[in-house]
Parts: sequence; C-alpha cells; structure tokens
Amino acid sequence: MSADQFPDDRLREIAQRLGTRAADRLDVEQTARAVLRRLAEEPRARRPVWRPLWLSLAAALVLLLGASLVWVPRGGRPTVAVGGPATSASVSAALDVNDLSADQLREVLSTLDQSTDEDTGTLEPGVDDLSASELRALLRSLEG
Amino acid sequence: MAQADPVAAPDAALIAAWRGGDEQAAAELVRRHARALARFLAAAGAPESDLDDLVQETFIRAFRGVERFRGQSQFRTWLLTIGGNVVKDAARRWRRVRMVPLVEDLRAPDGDPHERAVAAEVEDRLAQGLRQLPRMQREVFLLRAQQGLEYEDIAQALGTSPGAARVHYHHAVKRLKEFVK
Repeated sequence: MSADQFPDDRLREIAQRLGTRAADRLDVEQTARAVLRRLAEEPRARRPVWRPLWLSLAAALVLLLGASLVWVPRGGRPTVAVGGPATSASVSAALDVNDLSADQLREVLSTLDQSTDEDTGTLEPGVDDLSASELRALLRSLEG
Repeated sequence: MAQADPVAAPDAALIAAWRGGDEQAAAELVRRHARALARFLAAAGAPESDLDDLVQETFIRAFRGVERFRGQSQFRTWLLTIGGNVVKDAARRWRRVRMVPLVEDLRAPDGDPHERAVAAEVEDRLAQGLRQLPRMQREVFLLRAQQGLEYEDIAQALGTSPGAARVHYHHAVKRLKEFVK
C-alpha cells in the first residue's frame, strides 16, 4: 500500500490510541495532590516582568535627566551657562548667545574677564613691600 | 457564600474559583484534564517514566500563569499548548537518554498476540514519525487527530490562522503516512 492510500481515518484512530495506556496508568488523584502540594511549597516565582519594568523606568529617568542637561531649546540654539564657580557672588545665568547684540556680547565678555580676575585674585601690597619713601608718604597721609 | 460543587462546575467557574484561592477548584481541573494531557504528552514523545512529572509541571505552569488565560480558547486547549512547551523544554534531557520504545500492546492480556504486535508496531512507527515532524505540525496533528479540536481552536491556541493550521495538518498527515504505511 502506498502512503497516499493509507486511510485518514485509520491514521486518526492510531493517533487516538497513542499514549492511552500510559495515561491510564497515571494516578490522577495522586497527581492532583502533588500539584497542590507543589503549588503550596514552591513559592510563586517573582514576576520577571517587574524587574525589567523597574529597570526600564530607571533607565528612562536617567535618560530624561541626561537629556535635560543638554537640552537644546526651540530653534536648536545652544545655551551657555555663565558664572564663576569660585566666587561667592557668582551668577549663573543661561543666556541665549544668538539673542545678544554685539554690545551685549562685549559686556558679557568683560564680565567674564572681570570674573576671571576675581578668581585669580589681586593681592593688596603689604607694609613690608613698601620702600622707605613710600612708607614715609603713607605715614604723612595717616597723620593728615 | 456557598461554594459551587466543583464536579458540576464548568471550567471557567473553576478557574475563577482558583483565582480566588480555592485549591479544590484546581484539584478538580487536574482530575478533569490530566489524562487527556498525559495522552498528548506521551504522543508528543514524553517517556512514560517522566509522564507524571510533566503532567504536574504543565498544571503548575498553567495555574501560575492563569492570569494570561483569557478564555478565548477552551482551558484544555490552552493546557495542551502549555504541555507542548513543557515537552519542548524537557526534550533536551531526553536527547541525552537512549529512548527504548515500549511496545505496550504486547503486554496486554487480551486479544490476538499477532494483531497486538502489528498494532503496537504501527503505533510505534507513528510515534517515531511524530518525533520527526516540526513542532507546529506535530502539535496541530495531535490537537486535531488525537484531541479532536476544530481548526479555529487550534489556531487560537497556537497563535496561527485556521487556514495555516489546516495546511500544517495536511503536511503532517502526508509525512506520517510515509511512516505507518
């Protein structure tokens, strides 16, 4: 008999018999008890979706914070932070450079120069550094 | 509130009861579907020595993942597809073990010994053929030929279309006939 001639019903009948005896030997009550016992004994595994979800949220937060630091406002123009970190009166201001006129830019630059001077510091000369004539002139001015 | 008789309750009611913590509902679902599941697993290649463990594992996965069961298919169909995954996961172990087919009919006390031997041989060839089919063809064939499911239910359970399930079935039949002719 060729394969094509093998009747479909016969094949289905054989398929329905497959595993029947093994299944009949299964102790269903014992299986049910074992399933309940295992469900009670083996704690439900923590849902794996929580960790990826948590990590995803954390990653999204980090990205958001990072993006806010390098945020480019509308028009794609960069922002510049101006300020002297070492000076107590330093002012941190975000300026849009493209919005400034030439005069305003010069003013900003002079502010930066001033800030740099303040940062490096200019020392007052001490009395020891004065010459004899300078010292006499100073004493005269103090005496009025 | 009085609990419904588990034996009389439909699967959907038992699933709802299990979701609410009723263990007896789970036990009744095991009683109701364990043998069909065992036949499916055995036909899919599970050795009898592992059958009880695999049946338990399938039910445990089903009960723990019952939130994913939306009732679009029968509980048994859903259970059998989980069983297919359990068999797939266990197959790695079986490949390391030399499988000795058990010609069970020879041990049956009734019937003509020659007929029993022939029938057992045909079953064994079919089982061998099933093991060589692609998983989708094997599962579609078993769900259709062994479990008697409709193509719509098979397609729903296996995430395919009824037309594709029909094609898988016919490919499986064609190849299996080569083994059992």
